[in-house]
Amino acid sequence: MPALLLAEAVQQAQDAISAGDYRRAVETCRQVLHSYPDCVTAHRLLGEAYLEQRDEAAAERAFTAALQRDPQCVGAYVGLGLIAEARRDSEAALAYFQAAWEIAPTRGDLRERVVRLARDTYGPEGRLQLTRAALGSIHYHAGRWGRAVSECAAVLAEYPGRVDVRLRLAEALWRRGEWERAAATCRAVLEQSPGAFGALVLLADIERRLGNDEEAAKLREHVQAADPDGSRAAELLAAVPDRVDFFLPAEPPVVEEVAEPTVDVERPRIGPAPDFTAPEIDETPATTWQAAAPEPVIPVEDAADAADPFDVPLPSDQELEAARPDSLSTAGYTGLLRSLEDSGIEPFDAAAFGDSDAGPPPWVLEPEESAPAEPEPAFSEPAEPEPLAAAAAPAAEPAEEEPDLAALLGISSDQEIEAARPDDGPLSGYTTILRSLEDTGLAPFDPGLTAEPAAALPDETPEETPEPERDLVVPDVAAEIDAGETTAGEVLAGDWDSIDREILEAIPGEMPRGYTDELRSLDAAGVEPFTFDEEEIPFFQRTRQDDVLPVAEEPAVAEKGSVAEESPVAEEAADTEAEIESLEAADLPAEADVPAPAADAADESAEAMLLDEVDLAGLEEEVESTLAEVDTAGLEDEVEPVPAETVVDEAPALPEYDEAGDAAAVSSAIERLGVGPDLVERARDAKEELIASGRITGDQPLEPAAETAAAPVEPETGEPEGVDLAALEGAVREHPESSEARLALAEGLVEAGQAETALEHYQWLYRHAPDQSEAVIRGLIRITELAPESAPAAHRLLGAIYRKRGDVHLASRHYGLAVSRAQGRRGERRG
Amino acid sequence: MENYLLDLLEYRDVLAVVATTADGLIVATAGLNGDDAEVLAASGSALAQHVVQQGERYGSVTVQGGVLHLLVGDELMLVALTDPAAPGERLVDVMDGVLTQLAQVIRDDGSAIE
Repeated sequence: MPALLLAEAVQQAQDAISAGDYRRAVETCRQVLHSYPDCVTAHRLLGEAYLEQRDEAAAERAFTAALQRDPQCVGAYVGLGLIAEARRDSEAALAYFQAAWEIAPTRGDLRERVVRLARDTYGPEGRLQLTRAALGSIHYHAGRWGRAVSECAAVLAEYPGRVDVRLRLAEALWRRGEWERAAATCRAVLEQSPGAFGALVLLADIERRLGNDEEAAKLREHVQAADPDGSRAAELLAAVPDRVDFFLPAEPPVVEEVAEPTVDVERPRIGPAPDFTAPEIDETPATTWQAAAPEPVIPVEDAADAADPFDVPLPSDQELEAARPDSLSTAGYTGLLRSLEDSGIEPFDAAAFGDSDAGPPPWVLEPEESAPAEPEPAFSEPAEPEPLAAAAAPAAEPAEEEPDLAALLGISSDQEIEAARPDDGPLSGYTTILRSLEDTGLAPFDPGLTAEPAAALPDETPEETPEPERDLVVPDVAAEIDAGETTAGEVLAGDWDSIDREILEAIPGEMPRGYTDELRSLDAAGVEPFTFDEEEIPFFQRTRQDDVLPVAEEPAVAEKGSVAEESPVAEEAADTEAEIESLEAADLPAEADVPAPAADAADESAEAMLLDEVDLAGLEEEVESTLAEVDTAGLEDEVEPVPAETVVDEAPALPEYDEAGDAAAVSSAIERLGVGPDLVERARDAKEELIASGRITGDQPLEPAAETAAAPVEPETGEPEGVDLAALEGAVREHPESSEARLALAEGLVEAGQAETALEHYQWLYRHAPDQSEAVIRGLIRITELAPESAPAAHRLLGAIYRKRGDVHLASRHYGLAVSRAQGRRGERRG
Repeated sequence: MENYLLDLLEYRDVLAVVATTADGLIVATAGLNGDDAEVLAASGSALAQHVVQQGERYGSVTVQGGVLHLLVGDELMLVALTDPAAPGERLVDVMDGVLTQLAQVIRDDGSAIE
């Protein structure tokens, strides 16, 4: 088979994993590792394939090997995290996923996994913690090398063992051009992890930059061992593409095919079907059987196929047992049977059944000493399961030929299995449970008793007092009709009644059904039914009850003489009337003037009539005059001030959200975080610096909404207020090499709406002042916002800056924007 | 993105602004850098829990020397540190406009890093 390119082999392994062919992925990775034992990608893919095959131990080894060669291998951390999850070690899983997320903090899937694991591990308080290591990665990917260095250094001060963070520090230092520090950090990484691929790449590049080509060449050999095709080195050195060539191999690496045992295609056998007649069992002891047993011959028509390895007969069970190591003999059924032998139970000997004089086998249970000692036939299979005692009963006629068949087939009987079962074993299966119920004296289920009421259940000794079974046979009604003994109508009427009776009888009598039965049970318990007149609720609180009383419409019902014969509703109405009278006698205030609410609800017409009778205007006047007469000032003087605590005690409020207290708690928590006068003062100073640098004016008031929109400032032509363009131009003429002067002029020109001129100065800064790239980027973005006509050129320059930085993604995006904006401008002009 | 935040600093009451993700990761800062910005972002996250719990988008809390304002968006949060006299209602409008612009930038660019 021809050799395979390494890239193709890796791709094949990835494709195999994607397709679910994990065995093939493992084979491919092994082939790659055979040629390149340090290939990081192959180790990682091998781990993934093993993990998919549920071979966690092998996967763990592969992922660990990948991490030894690449401490920032996110896939390996994820794999180890998944393994830890599978082992239910949530803390370890959280640690692995946290490390993976810290290396790649922009990956949302890792972030979600960390959040979930944190909650699973620490409960509701578990959440994603923005660690300094993650911050270092964020700053690194954002191009803020200095902040990345400071964050990584802070992490290492606390956790010096974090190789991945140390490698990140080396990368950030290398990007900053601090070769010495970066080299020292790389060496520190290699001390911790000698095969760390990233450190080898960076160190080789630094040595090359410092002119140590020999050392660089040595390091390159190590790099190429871990990254044979240089793909990962190119990824790491994307910022400096011209440095990648050093690590690329002269020729594309190939994977040598590993010689695999060739497997010939099995040829079809055309001969007669093999003879499956069971051979006679050799009584030779198992240990010597293998040597003594003649090799069986399977007839094959093609004599030439005799040498075919696939024609070799498979070893028999005896051979396998004989070949089994002693250490494994305790496992499986063989081990179980041997343990039974150790406990004194004789092994099953089928030949013994042929001799009826040999006495009962030892496993036959003998419930009584006087039981006949006749052997139980091995193949007595009752038609239905019988209790153990019944199975132990001697059989009347032992079979004569069956033992031979048993010996041939080697099948154990039910009795053997029962005898081999440990006595004190746990109950299992329905059969055993039913047998245990029989031991307690419970009778088996009898369908004939189901028509009996619950009270007529058989007692615990059904054999002694058998209940007569009910005749459930359906009478042959059709025959009776045919015989003229009865008519169909009689049959139907009589049948329905009998069916009703049977249904009533079949209903368990003690079980209350529905509200009616519940009420009846209350009656039986002596609980009196609910009556209105016994309630001590004032009538004005009984609106729902009074709604049903036709008091206003039927005043005659209220006459006490007729109450006894009226309906309960009328009775309740009379009671209510009596209660009203008693309440009136109690001198309730102005009850007579208030229309009865019962009448309101009883009839809408009556309600309307009553409302018409009420003089609402008069009532309002009366209330107002009463209120006017009240001397509120005097009342206030009379009322003594009540302490607030007393009020709270008298009227305990429901638990409610204490918003003010919560806000105070948040405020104090925020101050504890460090937001205080010092921070405010530093923010004030920083803003003043921004104002002094001219980036902001900082003097807009927030109050007048119409004048203070935060929208982008409209481009203005001419000189903006506070910007002296002439002075800035003079400064540039005076110091043409001063990047600060040039930057100030460019920013002033942008604010003045002279974007084209500003672009020229930004281009100069791009070429001659790379340290001002951040300010240049800000100015160019400002141009894209303020001057659409200059946006294509600004985006083009932004793309160049990002390409110089090595940020291919942002560079390509800005180049794309430059093209699209230019096309848009052309489209606008054409339109 | 920093330019959008600088627009907020144009108001004399606004001292510092930090834009963060819903998790509290800093996206952009203006007026403060380094640890101070991290502290401001962490404070915003703490305040966000309180604000979101009440079903609100905006919240403010007074600290010694200033007021911390928070506006929660769909993708980002905006934390502003202002003078104590800053009018909250007007500030919310301004912050909302900036937050909308930031969200638009993220959607257009696919990256908040610039």
